[in-house]
Amino acid sequence: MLTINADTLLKPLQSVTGIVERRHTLPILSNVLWQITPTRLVMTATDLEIQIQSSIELSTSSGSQASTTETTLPARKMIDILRTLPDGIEMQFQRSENTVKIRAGKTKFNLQTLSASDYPIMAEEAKQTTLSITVDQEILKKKLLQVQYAMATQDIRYYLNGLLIQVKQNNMELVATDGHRLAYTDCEIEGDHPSGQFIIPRKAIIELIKLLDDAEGKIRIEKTENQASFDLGKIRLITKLVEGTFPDYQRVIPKDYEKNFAIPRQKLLNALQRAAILANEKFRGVRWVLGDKLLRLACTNAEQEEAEEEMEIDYHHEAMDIGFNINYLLDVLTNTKTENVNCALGDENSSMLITVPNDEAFKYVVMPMKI
Amino acid sequence: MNDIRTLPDSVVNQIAAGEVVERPAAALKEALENSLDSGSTDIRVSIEDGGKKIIRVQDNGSGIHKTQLSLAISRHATSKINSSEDLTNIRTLGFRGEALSSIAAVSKLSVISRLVEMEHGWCLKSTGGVVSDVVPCASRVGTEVCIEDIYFNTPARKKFLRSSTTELAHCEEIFKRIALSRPKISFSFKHNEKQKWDLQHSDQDTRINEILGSTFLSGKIPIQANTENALISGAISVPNISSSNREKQYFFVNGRFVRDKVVTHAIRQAYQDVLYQSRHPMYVISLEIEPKLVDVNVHPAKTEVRFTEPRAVHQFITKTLELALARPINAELRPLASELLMEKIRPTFDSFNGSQQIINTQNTLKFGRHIRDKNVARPQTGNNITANDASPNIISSDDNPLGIAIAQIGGIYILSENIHGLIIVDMHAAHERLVYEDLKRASNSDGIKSQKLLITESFQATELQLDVASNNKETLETLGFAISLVPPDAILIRGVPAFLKDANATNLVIDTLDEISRNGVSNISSELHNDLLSTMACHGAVRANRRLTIPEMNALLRRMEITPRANQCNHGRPTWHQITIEALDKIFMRGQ
Repeated sequence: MLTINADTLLKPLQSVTGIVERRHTLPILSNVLWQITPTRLVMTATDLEIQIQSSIELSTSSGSQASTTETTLPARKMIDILRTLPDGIEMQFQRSENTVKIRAGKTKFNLQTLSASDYPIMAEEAKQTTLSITVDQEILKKKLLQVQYAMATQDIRYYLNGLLIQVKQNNMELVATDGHRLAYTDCEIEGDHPSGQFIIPRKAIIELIKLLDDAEGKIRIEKTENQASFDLGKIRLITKLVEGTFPDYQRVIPKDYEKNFAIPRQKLLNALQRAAILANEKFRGVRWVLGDKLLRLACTNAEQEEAEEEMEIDYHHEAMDIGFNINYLLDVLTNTKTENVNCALGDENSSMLITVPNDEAFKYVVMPMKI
Repeated sequence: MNDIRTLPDSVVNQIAAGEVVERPAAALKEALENSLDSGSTDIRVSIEDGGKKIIRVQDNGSGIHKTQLSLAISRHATSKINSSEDLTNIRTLGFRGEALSSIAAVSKLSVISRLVEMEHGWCLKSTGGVVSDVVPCASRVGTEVCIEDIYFNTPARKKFLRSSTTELAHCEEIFKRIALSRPKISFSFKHNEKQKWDLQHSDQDTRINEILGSTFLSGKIPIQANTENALISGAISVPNISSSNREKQYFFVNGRFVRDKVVTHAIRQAYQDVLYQSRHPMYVISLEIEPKLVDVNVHPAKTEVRFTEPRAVHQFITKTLELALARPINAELRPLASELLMEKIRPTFDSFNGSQQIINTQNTLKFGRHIRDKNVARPQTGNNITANDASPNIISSDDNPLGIAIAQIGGIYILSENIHGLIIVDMHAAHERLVYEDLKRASNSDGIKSQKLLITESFQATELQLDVASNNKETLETLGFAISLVPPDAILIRGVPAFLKDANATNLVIDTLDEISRNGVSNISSELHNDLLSTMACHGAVRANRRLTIPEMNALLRRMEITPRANQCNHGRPTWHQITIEALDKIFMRGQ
């Protein structure tokens, strides 16, 4: 049914298998759907919420041969086979009723298949597309990485377990929050669009980041009533949207904080990483004691062991003593790449705003912890 | 539409009987309580057909004067209180003046009574509340109440009577409760002329053993503690010996059996850390409390009470029981360090005098350390630790109740030998408890951290929730919550305890408010906290299949001996088991 070089197959297959759960109650979901025509192989994987499709052009010139057919093959096993086969080897797939025979040099596999007609392809909504935007893949990836870590994981407020995309004219905002901290950024997009917002589920965002290319290339994002699709050329991801209303994020981003200071990012990150060794396992608290030109970081764990770090900073405001969850700070510092970060504070009970120079868009707000 | 009119007395009494005398056992209870209130020292019960036919209670108490006999069975007639002031200071079991009249209304009742100075007794007979006559009759000193054909005139109620066996079980249960509450009084119980119980006057301990039997006896912890206004005593079961139902739970407030929410919750909380899943502890606890601090006039059957200081009572019970349950294995072999116990309990009771002080956990720590230090200071016999060939003569004292390790089997169990024989220790379970107790001790000094919310949450609160929230702001703050009331009826959550930052904040606050309103205190977050620590402990404990050396095993045993609650793992499973030499002898049929 198909003759193809193993190298051509590996990457496209890997790009769809990321969403295949290891354990499933529905056996067919651990398989990937293979749809073959003489000119094209389309592989599809889904977890019923998200679906990723990846296609390979087949041409005799590249040594591929194919006849029209479709079947489903186990996802993990195929990946493991492709990984362990010698580089550049030619594979022959031969389909019989419930099995597929694979022959590669002197290696043979006989895999069980499940019927392709049973595969739960996600129905794409036929309704009219309400939004359609195009962005550079590289830019989108960079922006997503800046905010993605602030999404909630399994919050009861399901709308926090995702990332908000808000489009307005030629601007797209990306926001993630878990209720304790919030990351915000925006970027320019081509064209002039009507206002609209939607929440992409967490898992789709994580997969999307993996699919996005650092190199040049565009991605087309389309939103229908309850779905969003991401078209990257050879790969297409469709996801259900998270229902619900995202919190009013503009309200929690502080605008008039006066206690500003810049701090070297790497140095602060290293200091916090050291202090974190002795941060309490449950609370993860770190104290920031700000004095004249001095920042003192202190962590105490349950055994009453202490870590303290001192940094000279450009701080000329009144002394302050404020606590944070150290993980929230490590998150933002590892996910920004600039040399310095700017911190802005209100009082002991208000949030801290972290921004980066030369990127007006990015804002990170973190609430304090009363220690 | 019918006219409104006052009901005839006979109907009123039948209605009242519905509340007070719901089944024969309830009639028995009322009769027994009257006997107790009359100062009897010997009470004999004899019933027939599960109490459906006859309930006879004979006592040697003060008796009722001839002239008052008929008054005794009329409604709201009592000798126990005079005025409404007396209601706040009730020292008798009864006081409503309802029991006899209610019973009389639904049965054929005869009351024979003889005062000590009278030559013979007098007998009153009534049928359905109608007094026939008072005639002289032979009688011993005291009163005999005989209730025949209960519900003969209320067929609706009679229909609901169960089999004799069931009704007998209920009567016996009532009898047991009363007998447990008064160990100094001798009791006997006959059913269909067959003697079922014969209890001589004795002390609480003996009475408990007689009534609850050997299961309870083999694993009970005596408890005793007092304060200015209250005294608690009795016995509770060790967590290993628990029950699948709540039957063997006896709590007495001033000699009165009660099932009270505050009390149950307090006891449950004390066991929370050591009891296996859905098992129930067994206990006989008697709380003597200043009568003015408790209101028993809550329900006609009086199994509910209301404390004026529920929070203090709750804490008193919980702390006393926790302390008893937490005693390290080492301490169990010594007499109870009652002085220390007293010292520990006393500060709690400031709250009785008004100031609602939260228990100083620091005190518990000191107590724990004290014992610990004592043990550390005791010299270890050097050869014990490495002795592979530990011979019985080395193991001679109770210094090492868990014995000296011999070997490990299956990668799970440590075998050790003590003076009684063989001990098997579940290594993971035991270590889990040790790590858990360490974590708890450490986190007590952490204080409460509150994570402020960026996206605040709010919910529509009920009147009660709003009221509790506004009156307990400080309590909530000490738990790590930051909330504000948003008129008219919303509660806004601005901060949650840091270790619960990923929990459902709204539910957490609602549950906490709910618990505060019910019990005056909330330990939901501390329970969740302990759950968290427990999970951490499970991961931090040695796993099965880890080979331990003999010194490591001995070190584990020694630590178990001085750690509170080391008899159970965090989930309430036992950590060790003793097989005595006698039991081993049995297996091998030695000396038979």
